[in-house]
Amino acid sequence: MNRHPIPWSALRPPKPRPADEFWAEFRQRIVGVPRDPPAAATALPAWTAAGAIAAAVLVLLGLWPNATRPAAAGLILESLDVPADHRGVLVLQDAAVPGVVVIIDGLQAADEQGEGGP
Amino acid sequence: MNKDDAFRVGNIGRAVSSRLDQARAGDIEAFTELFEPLRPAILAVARRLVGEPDAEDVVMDTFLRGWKALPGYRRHASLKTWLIRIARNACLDRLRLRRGEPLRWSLQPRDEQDDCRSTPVEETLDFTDPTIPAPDENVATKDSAAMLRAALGRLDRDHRDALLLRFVDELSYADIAAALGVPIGTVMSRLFNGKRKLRGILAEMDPMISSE
Repeated sequence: MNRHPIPWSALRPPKPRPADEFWAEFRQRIVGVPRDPPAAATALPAWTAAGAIAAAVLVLLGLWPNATRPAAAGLILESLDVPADHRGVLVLQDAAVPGVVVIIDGLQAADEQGEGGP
Repeated sequence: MNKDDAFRVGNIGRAVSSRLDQARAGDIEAFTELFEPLRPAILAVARRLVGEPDAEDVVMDTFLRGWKALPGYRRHASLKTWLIRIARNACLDRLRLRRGEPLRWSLQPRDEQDDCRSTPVEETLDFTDPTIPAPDENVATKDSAAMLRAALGRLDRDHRDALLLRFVDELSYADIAAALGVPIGTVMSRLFNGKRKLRGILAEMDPMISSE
């Protein structure tokens, strides 16, 4: 027995009101509406920044613990994806030491409340 | 690329990103160009949540709120999903107005997630969607569309909304989740079970009809 598919498209509701009309009203109604301030950058905690800087200095000076065996590193940063807004990324990587230091400048913490608040 | 894909996180193109920056800075032309393609989806959500008489008003309210809030948009969700969340909040406020309740958002900052979970839309709705007639509609015509509408009218609200938003309004799982205030897994579950129930109802009406 052949079954006929349900015509979901037959239930499609009427189209929205004309775009020109809608946006003309929108322009009238936004006059004087104050806008929210731009999302402020959330600074990293001071201890985090200080720790990152200290680690970077240690790496640069070759003082990182167990930094004498390049083969022991086993850590190679091939790519880095920062999904949140940020100003810049500094990556310190030296084949001679077993570590990579990543400093993300201006990282903004997720704020779900701000995303859907209004 | 589907036109909606341009608004997805990670797919946002340079041109769209540029227009978004302009809209955030107050460029109305850029805002209009960027948001007009989203209007049908917002209208669909409004129709499902508050019904036809208020749907267009809620759409306008949503875009006004979007204009106000856009400078704080941080791209953690797609622009479309972000706006659908705003639309849901606008719908919930409209329903509170109908019940004579004060608008909470005007008194204190809202926790959007809590709000979605604590306000069951289905308890407040006057079901007025003209695309879905009453369950007792005469189906003797054997018209498949009318039959489908009647069958949907016999489904519970959760399953019906999910099916309509998916198959009639063609929203993504993520957008349906934002519209209904539930996790994506719940959306998938409602779609699966909703189709199964719908298939059963339709089979009672006419064995030749399938919901696939």
